[in-house]
Amino acid sequence: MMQKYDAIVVGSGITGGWAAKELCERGLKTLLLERGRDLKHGDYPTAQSDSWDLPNGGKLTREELEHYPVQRRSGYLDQPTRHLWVHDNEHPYHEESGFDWIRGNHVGGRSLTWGRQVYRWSDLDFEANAKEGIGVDWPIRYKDLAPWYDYVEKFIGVSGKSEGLQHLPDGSFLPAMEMNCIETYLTEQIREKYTDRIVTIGRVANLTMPHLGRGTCQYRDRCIRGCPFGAYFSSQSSTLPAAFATGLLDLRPHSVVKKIIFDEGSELAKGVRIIDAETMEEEVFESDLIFLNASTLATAQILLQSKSNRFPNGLGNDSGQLGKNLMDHHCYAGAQGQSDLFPDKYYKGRRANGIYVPRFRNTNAATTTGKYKRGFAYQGAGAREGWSRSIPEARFGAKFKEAALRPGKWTLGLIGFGECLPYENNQISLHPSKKDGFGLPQISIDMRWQENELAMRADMMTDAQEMLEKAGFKNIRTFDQGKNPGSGIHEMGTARMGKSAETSVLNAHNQMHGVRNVFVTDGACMTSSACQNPSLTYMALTVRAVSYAVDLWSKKALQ
Amino acid sequence: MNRREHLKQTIFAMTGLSLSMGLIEFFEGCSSGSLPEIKTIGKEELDFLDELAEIIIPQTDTIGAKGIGAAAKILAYIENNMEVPIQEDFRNGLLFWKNSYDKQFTGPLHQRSEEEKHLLMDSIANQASTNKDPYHTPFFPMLKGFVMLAYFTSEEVGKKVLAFDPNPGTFISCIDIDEHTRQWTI
Ligand SMILES: Cc1cc2nc3c(=O)[nH]c(=O)nc-3n(C[C@H](O)[C@H](O)[C@H](O)COP(=O)(O)OP(=O)(O)OC[C@H]3O[C@@H](n4cnc5c(N)ncnc54)[C@H](O)[C@@H]3O)c2cc1C
Ligand code: SF4
Repeated sequence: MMQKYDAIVVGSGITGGWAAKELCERGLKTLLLERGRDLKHGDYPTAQSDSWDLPNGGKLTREELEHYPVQRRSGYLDQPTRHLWVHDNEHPYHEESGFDWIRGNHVGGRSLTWGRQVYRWSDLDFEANAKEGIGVDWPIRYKDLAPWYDYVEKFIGVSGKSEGLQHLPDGSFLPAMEMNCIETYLTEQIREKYTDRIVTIGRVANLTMPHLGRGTCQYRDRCIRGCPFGAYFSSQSSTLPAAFATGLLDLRPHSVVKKIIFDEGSELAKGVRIIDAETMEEEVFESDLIFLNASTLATAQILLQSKSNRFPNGLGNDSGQLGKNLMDHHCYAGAQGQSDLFPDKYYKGRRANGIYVPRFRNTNAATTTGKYKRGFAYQGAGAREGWSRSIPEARFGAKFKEAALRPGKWTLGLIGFGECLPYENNQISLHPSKKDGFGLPQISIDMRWQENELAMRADMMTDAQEMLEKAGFKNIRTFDQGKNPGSGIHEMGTARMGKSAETSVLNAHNQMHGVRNVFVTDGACMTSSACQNPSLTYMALTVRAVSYAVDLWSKKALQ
Repeated sequence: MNRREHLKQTIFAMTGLSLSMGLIEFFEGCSSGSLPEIKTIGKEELDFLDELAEIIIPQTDTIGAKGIGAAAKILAYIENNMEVPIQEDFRNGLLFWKNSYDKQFTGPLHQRSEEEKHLLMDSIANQASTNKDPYHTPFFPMLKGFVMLAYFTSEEVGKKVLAFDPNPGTFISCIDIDEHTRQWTI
């Protein structure tokens, strides 16, 4: 028997969890489809493991690593988290150029492993495409999103400090985490020596006080393994419990959404076709509304697979833009240095957060550089070096041991997160012959950093170097690891929002121009990439879109 | 400066030790020696590795590398985690130094004087610093890295030697410490 819902949400990660919560809380009987296994809140087997509880000092064996030729490129893969990353050989894709697709397919998606840094965007970001004639104009401005940022922040809990910057708007913050002495020192030095930039504590979705039934962060810095205290935002700790509490949510794991079924008569989507990953049987679920939240690349893949007479090149692809304008932040360039200051100071607790230097290039006339468009922010941290600092030394013996047991010098690093422009030729498509284990076409990804990104990277190094030099740091070393696109794990674009159906896939409410009851609110919808971590913006766009969609649905305008 | 003089000065710079000419000859021989015949790692080599580890991190008022069973951990780690060329480089390095040691001394390494043990480790370190072979990883940095990994990720050290606080509960951004303060276990 066909099963009919008011709404279907595809993907249970950061944005899918939000869509499900909002739809259920607005009274819609909702089906949440997730391709991976179920993972219940609290089922975090390594959350309390110390290094000696883990085999091989916490590192993966050669045999284990063979499952993860792509995931290992991220640097996050280790024993305590290996169950949270896909086995690449079971989730193949074609790399036309090098692209790191870093992901975990299970209930909660990457809401479990994310770094929780959350920054609002501003009109500097929303207006940039229009001002510079790049890509298409965003169909929204900051004022359209501001109340939804508030709404999301109040629910997820964001600790941070208000700074009064126009281009990095303040939010509804829980008490900020503290900086350690070297970070405070850098902050003061930058305040003294620069007028165009500041250092602030990271804005992070970790709780610094009890919040909506969730516990305070215990400062263990083990978030990436899942938090038994629910002290950071994940689908498991936050949105899914709220959605289940309504009694209106059905969660169906092991459900690989294959395509969206389009009804040529009504010009609406009727439902979705899934493959049950356990039985390999196909099933169809119908609904009035569909929210696509499978994450940027997976969502574009589903849309490209959803071909019909009306949409022979993928659902809603009248503009030909579906799959194009793929973006990511380019990171892993910056500088680090040491300091001889504060030899008698240390800290207690492992703060799962760092410091942040908001964008300071091309923010106004005074900071404009002709070298590249847009800009970058720094994320960083100060700490005392640990025992591994002593490995390269030739020393050994009792004196060496005593020194190695003690905290090392203060060190501070700054890593740039740079904006990537939208380019049509950075794109994904369905591979003509390669298939995955479900018989579905693999996606082929072709994305390269281009001139603007490469020019920016030089500044990402030299600006950090100069800041550290001016602040009196020593042994300063710049670095540019030049990693592949995808390594920023902020992939976005491929089904952009825009004002016109001719040049974009989605309208100002994340609704498909061509198919009124389909909404895309994950990173696929992004029209530009800014340099701030994007997930907070995805969440705000999701709740805004749900509110709009449910309004239409209640008025029976989506039938 | 000839090689012998260079070796003497390097070791002096690293350790502050001045060497007798006899020992210099021994170390010089080790540094330029050839690989031993193919041999697998058995109990003797395992004990030798434990002793090398103990020279790097000796027992003081706290446990040393041998006490945490460094050699067994290292060999398991290398076998499970390292690529075959690194495994081979490590094994060859270990056998080479065991062979060199056996040529010069009879009896196990732990019976040697502190000075002799140090001179052996100095020569291992010195070989690494003068080794320019781009195709093989020098033994000393591997040895030291593995010893430290085994030591600092062990339960004994994590709980009893370092400052262990699995659930800190709060973050105190700035605390006073003195020269005896140990780093936090991670
Ligand atoms: C280590 C790391 C650090 C990060 N740090 C930050 C940060 O500090 N700040 C920030 O803003 N962002 C960060 N990110 C990025 C952030 O995790 C993503 O932007 C965010 O998770 C995207 O949300 P999403 O809902 O689109 O996708 P996901 O959270 O990835 O969830 C997508 C879900 O859809 C499911 N799915 C996929 N295909 C299908 C299908 N065909 N059928 C059914 N289900 C499907 C997947 O299994 C998955 O569960 C980080 C990511 C990682 C990995
Ligand atoms: S550091 Fe805080 S939020 Fe992260 S896992 Fe530990 S208690 Fe949870």
